[in-house]
Amino acid sequence: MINNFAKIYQLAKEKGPGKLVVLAPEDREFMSAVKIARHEGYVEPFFIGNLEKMQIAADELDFNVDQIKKISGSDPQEIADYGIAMLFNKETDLVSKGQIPTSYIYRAVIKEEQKRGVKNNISVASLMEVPGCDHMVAVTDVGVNIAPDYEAKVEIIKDAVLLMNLLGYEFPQVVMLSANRDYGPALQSYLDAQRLREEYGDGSGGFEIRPEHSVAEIFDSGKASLPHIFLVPELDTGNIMAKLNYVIPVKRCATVLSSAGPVAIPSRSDFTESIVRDMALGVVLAARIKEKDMGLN
Amino acid sequence: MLDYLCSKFPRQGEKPKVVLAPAKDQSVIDVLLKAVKLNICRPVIIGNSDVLAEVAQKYRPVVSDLELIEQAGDFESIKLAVKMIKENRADILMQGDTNRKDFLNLVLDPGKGLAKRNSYSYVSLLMSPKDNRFTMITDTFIHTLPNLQEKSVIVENALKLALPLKIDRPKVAVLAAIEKVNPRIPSTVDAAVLAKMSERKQFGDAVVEGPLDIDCATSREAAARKKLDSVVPGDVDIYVVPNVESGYAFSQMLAFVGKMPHAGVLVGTAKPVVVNVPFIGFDEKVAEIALSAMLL
Repeated sequence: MINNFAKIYQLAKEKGPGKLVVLAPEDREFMSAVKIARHEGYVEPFFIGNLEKMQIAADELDFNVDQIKKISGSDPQEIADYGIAMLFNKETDLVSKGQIPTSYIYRAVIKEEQKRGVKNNISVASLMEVPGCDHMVAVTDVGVNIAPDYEAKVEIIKDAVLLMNLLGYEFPQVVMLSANRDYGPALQSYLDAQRLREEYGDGSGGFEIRPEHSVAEIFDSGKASLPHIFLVPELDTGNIMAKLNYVIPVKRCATVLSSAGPVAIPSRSDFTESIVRDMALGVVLAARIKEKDMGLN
Repeated sequence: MLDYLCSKFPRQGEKPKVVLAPAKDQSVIDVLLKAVKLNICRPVIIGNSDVLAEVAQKYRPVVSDLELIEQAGDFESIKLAVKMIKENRADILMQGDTNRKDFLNLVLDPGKGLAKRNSYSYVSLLMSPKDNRFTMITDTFIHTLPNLQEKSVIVENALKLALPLKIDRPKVAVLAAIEKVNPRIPSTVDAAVLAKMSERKQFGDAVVEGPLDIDCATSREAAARKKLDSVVPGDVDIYVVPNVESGYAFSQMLAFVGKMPHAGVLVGTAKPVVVNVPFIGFDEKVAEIALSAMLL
């Protein structure tokens, strides 16, 4: 069971270098992350993006990128499409976002998934290391679905369960966040949680549903043990839950686990350390998918 | 949090009367009497004869101005308390041990209660252990998914609390999932309008900024990386959340994972109302009375 990022780094080193396509590492933080991840032996990178900008970013860091394969591209959708197609064609182990808006990458992944008829929807899970907690905590969906309906929520949970399975958690616990407050009308997020309990409460989905609906209830239960997976009701809550690292001492990274492998999703505001974590997690996930032979259709 | 609030509390003048209804549970009564002991308020306790007898026995010897009013039944007790407030016989209403939904329905009734429709919101107050700085998150209870007009009231109400807390030129972050205005995501559009209203000084001296996603709001460096130029990122006094679920998640993560002392206040009612919300510590419940008194 992988319960902290130190273990993820260690495994990325052992299993790496993974083949990594980076989509437009055109600024200092992204390029610096690639430099470190390569130096540590996590990844063997491949760049798609504006050649000139990537070279400038690399030069600033004294990072010799002559030996790294590169493809020129300037249109963000084309860059995303090309890189994601490489993942689905098994030409790379993982992909990482660089300096392009995430929506292009989501679109590219959904297109490939639909082409193969495997999945209709994708989700982004944020993986957190929380001080005092003996396991990793995934928060999902923090990127794609603005306001998922019940069916979408079930799919999102299943993606996160697979992620946690790959990290060694066989039967992860799920808390569906809501705001059960004895006031006003019942919230859809609460009704969805009740329905999930009715339909999957027997464990048939490969996960356990916890009785709590909020962080306060978890701590009030006396156990104060966080679940393995938090399902957020919508994107606003997801954004907040996923990026609290500036106000509380948590570490985090984010990934889309496509059916062809992981796509690391750093935020545009992330710094090198966090981006390296995204890449290291991707390498570990890709390696475990291969080991379990559960990748690519 | 309580010590800090007490230090800010005016020592002089007549203390406000807090009416507790219905008094049943000893721990709620203890909260009120601790506030009395700290010279924050004077107590009025409404309850049945058994409860009052117990209170009298325990507290009469130590509390000089203990006012006890006998009334059976939750509903009748709350009604009597509201009447007392309306007749200026008490200043602050404190929820006793009764169903929160029934209490609020009665107290917030637009005709018979203590508030006008759409005038009130709930503010969660957290204190950073690092620098004793207060942070507000709102609305964390009343509005499920506030619209622009409601958010404007939510901002104004939070500013009402900033005043007695002596937060100078409060910085307000209106949160959304992204920091760019996206017409398809209403929370980003609302935030942009509130920021424009602030620019036109419609919120007085406060600086309201939005839309801000959580990383931009909480970190100046993260905001700079997204090329956002504003004085608010990394220095926020008040966070306005787009919906109640995100408010719950944000405030509770800070309170429980971040281990920050936390309390909550209903703001915008005609007279302050202390709601008995779960997961608040004893001293913080006392702090809630102090905060309500500051709103008078």
